[in-house]
Amino acid sequence: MKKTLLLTTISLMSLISFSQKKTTTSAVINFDAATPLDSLPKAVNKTVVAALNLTNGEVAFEASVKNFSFSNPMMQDHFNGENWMNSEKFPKATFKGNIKNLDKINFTKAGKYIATIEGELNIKGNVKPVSTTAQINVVGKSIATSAKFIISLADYGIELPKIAAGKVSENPSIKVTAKF
Amino acid sequence: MKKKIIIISGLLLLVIIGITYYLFSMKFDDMNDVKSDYDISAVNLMKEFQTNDSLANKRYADKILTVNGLVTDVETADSIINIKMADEQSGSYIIFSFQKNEEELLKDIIAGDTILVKGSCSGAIYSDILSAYSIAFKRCILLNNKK
Repeated sequence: MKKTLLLTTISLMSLISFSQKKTTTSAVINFDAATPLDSLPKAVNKTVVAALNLTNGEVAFEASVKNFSFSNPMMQDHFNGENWMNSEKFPKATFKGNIKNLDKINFTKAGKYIATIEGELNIKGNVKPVSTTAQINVVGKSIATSAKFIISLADYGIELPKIAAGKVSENPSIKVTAKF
Repeated sequence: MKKKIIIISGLLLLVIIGITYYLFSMKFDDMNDVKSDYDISAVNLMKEFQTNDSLANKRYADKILTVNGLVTDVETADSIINIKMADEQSGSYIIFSFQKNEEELLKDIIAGDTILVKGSCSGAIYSDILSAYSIAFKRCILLNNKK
Protein backbone atom coordinates (compact mmCIF):
# COMPACT_ATOMS: atom_id res chain seq x y z
CA MET A 1 0.00 0.00 0.00
CA LYS A 2 2.74 2.38 1.10
CA LYS A 3 4.75 1.46 -1.97
CA THR A 4 1.86 2.21 -4.30
CA LEU A 5 1.30 5.55 -2.62
CA LEU A 6 4.98 6.39 -2.93
CA LEU A 7 5.05 5.38 -6.59
CA THR A 8 1.89 7.36 -7.34
CA THR A 9 3.36 10.41 -5.60
CA ILE A 10 6.62 10.13 -7.51
CA SER A 11 4.92 9.71 -10.87
CA LEU A 12 2.53 12.56 -10.11
CA MET A 13 5.41 14.79 -9.12
CA SER A 14 7.34 13.99 -12.27
CA LEU A 15 4.21 14.66 -14.31
CA ILE A 16 3.73 18.02 -12.60
CA SER A 17 7.33 19.03 -13.10
CA PHE A 18 7.14 17.96 -16.73
CA SER A 19 3.97 19.88 -17.48
CA GLN A 20 5.43 22.96 -15.85
CA LYS A 21 5.70 25.99 -18.05
CA LYS A 22 9.33 26.97 -18.55
CA THR A 23 10.03 30.69 -18.35
CA THR A 24 13.01 33.02 -18.61
CA THR A 25 13.40 36.73 -17.99
CA SER A 26 16.60 36.96 -20.03
CA ALA A 27 15.49 36.12 -23.55
CA VAL A 28 17.03 38.33 -26.23
CA ILE A 29 15.48 40.12 -29.20
CA ASN A 30 17.68 41.51 -31.93
CA PHE A 31 15.82 44.06 -34.00
CA ASP A 32 17.37 44.77 -37.37
CA ALA A 33 16.06 47.39 -39.79
CA ALA A 34 19.44 48.08 -41.39
CA THR A 35 19.75 48.60 -45.14
CA PRO A 36 22.73 48.83 -47.49
CA LEU A 37 22.45 52.63 -47.05
CA ASP A 38 22.43 52.65 -43.29
CA SER A 39 23.70 50.06 -40.83
CA LEU A 40 22.55 51.95 -37.72
CA PRO A 41 18.89 50.96 -37.22
CA LYS A 42 19.66 47.96 -35.04
CA ALA A 43 18.78 47.32 -31.44
CA VAL A 44 18.96 44.65 -28.80
CA ASN A 45 16.70 43.90 -25.87
CA LYS A 46 18.25 41.47 -23.38
CA THR A 47 15.46 41.35 -20.80
CA VAL A 48 12.60 39.75 -22.73
CA VAL A 49 10.22 37.52 -20.76
CA ALA A 50 9.61 34.25 -22.61
CA ALA A 51 7.64 31.09 -21.90
CA LEU A 52 7.62 27.60 -23.36
CA ASN A 53 5.09 24.98 -22.35
CA LEU A 54 6.62 21.57 -22.95
CA THR A 55 3.32 19.73 -22.69
CA ASN A 56 1.02 21.68 -25.00
CA GLY A 57 3.60 23.57 -27.11
CA GLU A 58 2.47 27.07 -26.17
CA VAL A 59 5.13 29.72 -26.68
CA ALA A 60 5.03 33.39 -25.73
CA PHE A 61 7.20 36.40 -25.19
CA GLU A 62 6.83 39.94 -23.87
CA ALA A 63 9.34 42.73 -24.50
CA SER A 64 9.56 46.14 -22.89
CA VAL A 65 9.73 48.50 -25.87
CA LYS A 66 11.74 51.04 -23.93
CA ASN A 67 14.42 48.47 -23.15
CA PHE A 68 15.53 48.15 -26.80
CA SER A 69 19.03 49.53 -26.77
CA PHE A 70 20.41 51.34 -29.86
CA SER A 71 23.96 52.61 -30.22
CA ASN A 72 22.64 55.93 -31.52
CA PRO A 73 20.54 58.09 -29.12
CA MET A 74 18.58 59.78 -31.93
CA MET A 75 17.48 56.44 -33.40
CA GLN A 76 16.42 55.20 -29.99
CA ASP A 77 14.33 58.36 -29.54
CA HIS A 78 12.69 57.89 -32.95
CA PHE A 79 12.02 54.21 -32.23
CA ASN A 80 10.16 55.13 -29.02
CA GLY A 81 8.41 58.13 -30.56
CA GLU A 82 4.76 58.41 -31.51
CA ASN A 83 5.24 57.63 -35.21
CA TRP A 84 7.22 54.49 -34.52
CA MET A 85 6.52 52.32 -31.47
CA ASN A 86 4.89 54.96 -29.26
CA SER A 87 6.29 53.26 -26.17
CA GLU A 88 4.55 55.66 -23.79
CA LYS A 89 1.18 54.35 -24.94
CA PHE A 90 2.23 50.82 -25.90
CA PRO A 91 4.99 49.85 -23.44
CA LYS A 92 5.23 46.21 -24.48
CA ALA A 93 5.33 44.10 -27.63
CA THR A 94 4.09 40.54 -27.27
CA PHE A 95 3.84 37.24 -29.09
CA LYS A 96 1.57 34.28 -28.32
CA GLY A 97 1.63 31.11 -30.34
CA ASN A 98 1.92 27.36 -30.61
CA ILE A 99 4.39 24.79 -31.84
CA LYS A 100 2.50 23.02 -34.63
CA ASN A 101 4.72 19.94 -34.87
CA LEU A 102 5.09 19.22 -31.17
CA ASP A 103 5.07 15.46 -31.84
CA LYS A 104 8.39 15.83 -33.69
CA ILE A 105 10.17 17.43 -30.73
CA ASN A 106 11.46 15.50 -27.76
CA PHE A 107 12.40 17.98 -25.03
CA THR A 108 13.89 15.21 -22.90
CA LYS A 109 16.23 13.86 -25.59
CA ALA A 110 19.37 15.76 -26.53
CA GLY A 111 19.33 16.92 -30.14
CA LYS A 112 18.45 19.63 -32.60
CA TYR A 113 14.87 20.09 -33.68
CA ILE A 114 13.03 22.40 -36.05
CA ALA A 115 9.70 23.69 -34.77
CA THR A 116 6.96 25.24 -36.85
CA ILE A 117 5.42 28.11 -34.95
CA GLU A 118 2.18 29.95 -35.59
CA GLY A 119 0.80 32.74 -33.52
CA GLU A 120 -0.02 36.39 -33.14
CA LEU A 121 2.35 39.30 -32.79
CA ASN A 122 1.06 42.36 -30.96
CA ILE A 123 3.00 45.52 -31.75
CA LYS A 124 1.69 49.02 -31.06
CA GLY A 125 -1.77 47.62 -30.38
CA ASN A 126 -1.98 45.89 -33.78
CA VAL A 127 -2.41 42.12 -33.63
CA LYS A 128 -1.31 40.19 -36.74
CA PRO A 129 -0.96 36.47 -37.43
CA VAL A 130 2.65 35.38 -38.02
CA SER A 131 4.42 32.10 -38.61
CA THR A 132 8.04 31.05 -38.55
CA THR A 133 10.35 28.16 -37.86
CA ALA A 134 12.41 27.89 -34.71
CA GLN A 135 15.59 26.02 -33.93
CA ILE A 136 15.43 24.07 -30.70
CA ASN A 137 18.58 22.65 -29.20
CA VAL A 138 18.18 20.30 -26.26
CA VAL A 139 21.34 19.76 -24.23
CA GLY A 140 20.86 17.99 -20.93
CA LYS A 141 18.22 19.94 -19.03
CA SER A 142 18.72 23.11 -21.00
CA ILE A 143 16.59 24.03 -24.00
CA ALA A 144 17.97 26.72 -26.31
CA THR A 145 15.54 28.21 -28.80
CA SER A 146 15.91 30.68 -31.63
CA ALA A 147 13.39 32.06 -34.12
CA LYS A 148 13.27 34.87 -36.62
CA PHE A 149 10.27 36.89 -37.76
CA ILE A 150 10.28 39.22 -40.75
CA ILE A 151 7.57 41.81 -40.26
CA SER A 152 6.09 44.57 -42.35
CA LEU A 153 6.10 47.92 -40.54
CA ALA A 154 2.91 48.95 -42.33
CA ASP A 155 1.05 45.99 -40.76
CA TYR A 156 1.62 47.51 -37.35
CA GLY A 157 0.72 51.08 -38.20
CA ILE A 158 4.32 52.26 -38.49
CA GLU A 159 4.82 54.62 -41.41
CA LEU A 160 8.28 55.65 -42.42
CA PRO A 161 8.80 59.34 -43.11
CA LYS A 162 10.01 60.05 -46.66
CA ILE A 163 13.38 61.17 -45.34
CA ALA A 164 14.00 57.65 -43.96
CA ALA A 165 13.28 55.96 -47.31
CA GLY A 166 16.07 53.54 -48.09
CA LYS A 167 17.75 54.08 -44.74
CA VAL A 168 15.36 52.03 -42.63
CA SER A 169 14.06 48.70 -43.86
CA GLU A 170 10.29 48.49 -44.22
CA ASN A 171 10.59 44.78 -43.46
CA PRO A 172 12.83 44.52 -40.43
CA SER A 173 13.71 41.22 -38.79
CA ILE A 174 13.06 40.29 -35.18
CA LYS A 175 15.29 37.50 -33.93
CA VAL A 176 14.29 35.96 -30.64
CA THR A 177 16.62 33.69 -28.67
CA ALA A 178 15.68 32.16 -25.36
CA LYS A 179 17.35 29.63 -23.11
CA PHE A 180 15.13 27.69 -20.74
CA MET B 1 23.06 88.07 -57.08
CA LYS B 2 23.10 84.60 -58.61
CA LYS B 3 26.54 84.01 -57.16
CA LYS B 4 25.31 84.95 -53.70
CA ILE B 5 22.42 82.50 -53.91
CA ILE B 6 24.77 79.72 -54.98
CA ILE B 7 27.18 80.46 -52.11
CA ILE B 8 24.39 80.63 -49.51
CA SER B 9 22.80 77.41 -50.80
CA GLY B 10 26.20 75.74 -50.73
CA LEU B 11 26.81 76.83 -47.13
CA LEU B 12 23.33 75.72 -46.06
CA LEU B 13 23.90 72.31 -47.64
CA LEU B 14 27.19 71.98 -45.77
CA VAL B 15 25.50 72.84 -42.46
CA ILE B 16 22.74 70.29 -43.14
CA ILE B 17 25.29 67.61 -44.02
CA GLY B 18 27.27 68.52 -40.90
CA ILE B 19 24.25 68.29 -38.58
CA THR B 20 23.09 65.02 -40.18
CA TYR B 21 26.56 63.53 -39.85
CA TYR B 22 26.74 64.65 -36.22
CA LEU B 23 23.31 63.18 -35.34
CA PHE B 24 24.04 59.87 -37.04
CA SER B 25 27.49 59.45 -35.55
CA MET B 26 26.33 60.23 -32.00
CA LYS B 27 26.70 57.43 -29.48
CA PHE B 28 25.42 56.98 -25.97
CA ASP B 29 27.96 58.08 -23.37
CA ASP B 30 29.74 55.42 -21.40
CA MET B 31 27.68 54.91 -18.21
CA ASN B 32 30.84 55.61 -16.18
CA ASP B 33 30.66 59.23 -17.40
CA VAL B 34 26.95 59.79 -16.77
CA LYS B 35 25.58 61.32 -13.58
CA SER B 36 22.76 59.45 -11.96
CA ASP B 37 19.38 61.19 -11.50
CA TYR B 38 18.25 59.06 -8.57
CA ASP B 39 19.89 56.84 -5.97
CA ILE B 40 17.45 54.28 -4.61
CA SER B 41 17.27 50.84 -3.02
CA ALA B 42 15.85 47.95 -5.04
CA VAL B 43 13.19 47.33 -2.40
CA ASN B 44 11.93 50.93 -2.49
CA LEU B 45 12.00 51.07 -6.28
CA MET B 46 9.86 47.94 -6.52
CA LYS B 47 7.50 49.32 -3.87
CA GLU B 48 7.01 52.51 -5.87
CA PHE B 49 6.16 50.60 -9.04
CA GLN B 50 3.80 48.25 -7.22
CA THR B 51 1.99 51.11 -5.48
CA ASN B 52 1.51 53.27 -8.58
CA ASP B 53 3.19 52.10 -11.75
CA SER B 54 2.15 55.03 -13.96
CA LEU B 55 3.52 57.54 -11.47
CA ALA B 56 6.75 55.55 -11.06
CA ASN B 57 7.09 55.18 -14.83
CA LYS B 58 6.77 58.94 -15.23
CA ARG B 59 9.41 59.51 -12.60
CA TYR B 60 11.99 56.88 -13.51
CA ALA B 61 11.61 55.86 -17.19
CA ASP B 62 14.50 57.09 -19.33
CA LYS B 63 16.34 58.30 -16.23
CA ILE B 64 19.72 57.19 -14.93
CA LEU B 65 19.40 55.36 -11.62
CA THR B 66 21.89 53.99 -9.14
CA VAL B 67 20.29 51.01 -7.40
CA ASN B 68 21.57 49.09 -4.43
CA GLY B 69 20.13 45.75 -3.53
CA LEU B 70 20.42 42.05 -2.98
CA VAL B 71 21.12 39.88 -6.02
CA THR B 72 18.55 37.09 -6.21
CA ASP B 73 19.63 35.63 -9.54
CA VAL B 74 22.35 35.88 -12.15
CA GLU B 75 20.98 34.86 -15.55
CA THR B 76 23.36 33.88 -18.31
CA ALA B 77 22.63 33.04 -21.92
CA ASP B 78 25.42 32.86 -24.48
CA SER B 79 27.52 35.97 -23.87
CA ILE B 80 24.84 37.77 -21.88
CA ILE B 81 24.87 38.20 -18.12
CA ASN B 82 21.80 39.80 -16.51
CA ILE B 83 21.41 40.48 -12.83
CA LYS B 84 18.10 40.21 -11.07
CA MET B 85 16.78 41.62 -7.80
CA ALA B 86 13.41 40.04 -7.12
CA ASP B 87 10.74 40.45 -4.48
CA GLU B 88 10.10 36.82 -3.60
CA GLN B 89 6.60 37.55 -2.28
CA SER B 90 5.06 39.33 -5.25
CA GLY B 91 7.31 37.87 -7.94
CA SER B 92 8.08 41.38 -9.21
CA TYR B 93 11.67 42.04 -10.10
CA ILE B 94 14.28 44.45 -11.35
CA ILE B 95 16.49 43.18 -14.14
CA PHE B 96 19.73 44.82 -15.21
CA SER B 97 21.30 44.32 -18.64
CA PHE B 98 24.78 45.70 -19.02
CA GLN B 99 26.82 47.76 -21.41
CA LYS B 100 29.75 46.14 -23.23
CA ASN B 101 32.88 45.03 -21.39
CA GLU B 102 31.22 44.56 -18.00
CA GLU B 103 31.32 40.75 -18.21
CA GLU B 104 34.70 40.50 -16.52
CA LEU B 105 33.35 42.20 -13.36
CA LEU B 106 30.00 40.42 -13.50
CA LYS B 107 31.27 36.89 -13.58
CA ASP B 108 32.12 36.93 -9.88
CA ILE B 109 28.66 38.08 -8.79
CA ILE B 110 26.45 35.43 -7.23
CA ALA B 111 22.98 35.37 -5.67
CA GLY B 112 23.16 36.74 -2.14
CA ASP B 113 25.63 39.52 -2.97
CA THR B 114 24.67 43.10 -2.24
CA ILE B 115 25.68 45.30 -5.14
CA LEU B 116 25.43 48.80 -6.54
CA VAL B 117 24.38 49.15 -10.20
CA LYS B 118 24.03 52.25 -12.36
CA GLY B 119 22.04 52.22 -15.59
CA SER B 120 19.26 53.59 -17.75
CA CYS B 121 15.82 52.70 -16.39
CA SER B 122 13.25 51.63 -18.99
CA GLY B 123 10.36 51.69 -16.53
CA ALA B 124 8.16 48.71 -15.75
CA ILE B 125 5.85 46.51 -17.75
CA TYR B 126 3.33 44.16 -16.22
CA SER B 127 4.18 40.67 -17.43
CA ASP B 128 1.09 38.55 -18.11
CA ILE B 129 3.36 35.50 -18.41
CA LEU B 130 4.69 35.91 -14.87
CA SER B 131 1.81 37.92 -13.34
CA ALA B 132 4.36 40.36 -11.96
CA TYR B 133 6.03 43.68 -12.66
CA SER B 134 9.26 43.61 -14.60
CA ILE B 135 11.41 46.71 -14.16
CA ALA B 136 14.13 46.66 -16.82
CA PHE B 137 17.43 48.51 -17.11
CA LYS B 138 19.81 48.83 -20.03
CA ARG B 139 23.46 49.93 -20.49
CA CYS B 140 24.25 49.23 -16.83
CA ILE B 141 27.60 49.18 -15.06
CA LEU B 142 28.58 47.59 -11.79
CA LEU B 143 29.78 50.17 -9.27
CA ASN B 144 31.03 47.91 -6.49
CA ASN B 145 34.67 47.95 -7.45
CA LYS B 146 34.73 51.46 -8.81
CA LYS B 147 33.99 53.57 -5.76
